[in-house]
Amino acid sequence: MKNTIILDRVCLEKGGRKILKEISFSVKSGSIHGLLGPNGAGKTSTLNLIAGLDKVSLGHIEIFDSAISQVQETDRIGFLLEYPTLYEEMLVKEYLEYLAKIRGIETQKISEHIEYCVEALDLKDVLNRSIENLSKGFKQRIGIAQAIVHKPDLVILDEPTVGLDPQAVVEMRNFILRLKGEHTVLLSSHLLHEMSLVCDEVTIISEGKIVASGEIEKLEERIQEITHVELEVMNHDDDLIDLIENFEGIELVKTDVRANSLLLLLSLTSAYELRPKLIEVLVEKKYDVLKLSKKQHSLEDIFMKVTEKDD
Amino acid sequence: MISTIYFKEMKLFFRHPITYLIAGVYTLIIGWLIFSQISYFAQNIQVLPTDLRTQYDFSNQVIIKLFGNINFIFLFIVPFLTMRIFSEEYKSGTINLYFTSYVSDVELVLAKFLAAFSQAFFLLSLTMFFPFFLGNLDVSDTNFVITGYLGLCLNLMCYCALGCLASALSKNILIASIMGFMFILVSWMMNMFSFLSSHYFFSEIILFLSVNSHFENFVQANISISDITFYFSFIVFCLILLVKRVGIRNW
Repeated sequence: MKNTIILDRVCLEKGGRKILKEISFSVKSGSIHGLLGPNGAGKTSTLNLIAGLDKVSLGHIEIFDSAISQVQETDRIGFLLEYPTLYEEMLVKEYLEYLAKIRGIETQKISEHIEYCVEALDLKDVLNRSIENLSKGFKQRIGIAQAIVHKPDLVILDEPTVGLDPQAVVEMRNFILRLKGEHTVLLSSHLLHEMSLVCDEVTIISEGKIVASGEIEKLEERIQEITHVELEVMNHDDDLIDLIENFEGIELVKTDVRANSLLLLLSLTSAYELRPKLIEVLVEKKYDVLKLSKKQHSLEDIFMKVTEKDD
Repeated sequence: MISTIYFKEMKLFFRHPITYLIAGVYTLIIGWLIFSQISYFAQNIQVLPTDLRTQYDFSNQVIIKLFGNINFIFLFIVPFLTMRIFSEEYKSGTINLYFTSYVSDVELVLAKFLAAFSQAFFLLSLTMFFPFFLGNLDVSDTNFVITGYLGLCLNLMCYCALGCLASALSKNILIASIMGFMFILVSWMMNMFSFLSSHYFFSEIILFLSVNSHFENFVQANISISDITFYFSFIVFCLILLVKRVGIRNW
């Protein structure tokens, strides 16, 4: 698949402080790419560089096969900043019309572009209302509307779900998913679960460096040096713990006593798959096994693992 | 693009209630000044002997003084008008909408400057009843009035350019307004500094750089090419600095 964005050893220095240190990653065309990282990691700085709001100190950024320093194709990029950049005194329609005009859309096509935003973001009811009187959720939607009003190929969303209530977060997720295919989306967020639901690929940035980049499944595989297994047994006793502790190739990591069962987290240290043998022994000892499954690593696990500092 | 940004600025200016408050207070002050200066002139001329009355010039005693007063009032009003024009855009991040659009820095600066000047001109236009008023009194001196207003317009352009520049230098609206006031004040008082230099050449340079010394020529209907050149150069210089500042993006 073709890449819409390529960052090659990009550095950013401001006031003598190195904000980005040789970061390299690419974003595939038509995909949703997430940029993850703790506060101050350099996510917004990276997005600002891609949107052309800052200049690269060293390195190279390519967007739509052109170096960003040579061509700034503003009509092909839509950008939502961390906080919606709105003229609060304006009406929603007036604001979108204004944005469409300064983005170079022909006068006769402006209403068609506004209609596209209104439908995509369900803004019909607030179109003739003043922006300052709208809720935070609607303001965020209008912020996104300004980013897509000119139907750009690349949509950059910096923390699009920040400060939204759970319902608005779900709406935002659905909207971002609708953008997929038609637009390439690059977004940053702190909500790891949300990112795992919408992103095809993620790039994790920490202290101005890229610590991981790629498809979530592949990153998961990378951190699964030890396979963890969850075992839930209904009729448990002390013998069960002894049995597990003495089982060759298995290490007991954690026990969690629940109302009607015991949940054990086990790590399989053996190179062989021990689950069939384990279940056989448990059934033989008449234990009622409710669950025996490989523990799935969440994006949060990946994030914590790759951003943890070496002591 | 210039007209799009310009009309947006003007629309928001006329939508703001504070505009009408400023206009009201400003008109009240100007109205009072006109009234008091004319009545002061009328009182003085009545006590003069008849043969001296023709030497007591209306233009010098009323029109020139009035234009000086209007100019002085704009010293305070212009920073108030221009303080938000860039400062608020930087503070709220809306300036980035232009940086990620087809708007060039020159277009943005020109549109904002023209909008600021138009806003100041709107307030100035509220005093346009003054020449008609004088016309009815049959004492109007057309030349003084026309050149006076022309001088005021050019002065306002200089003040607006300085105010816009100050506004682009700070994200804090209050600091931007104080800076704008200081810039305009320095340009206004420059002719006073000329007396501090004993050197004739430097003294003349400082005097030439003073906005007020050129304004005085306009008010006295004594316009020269050097005055027009000065105003043009001053405005262009400020706007170039403003374009450079905007080009730095976010500092």
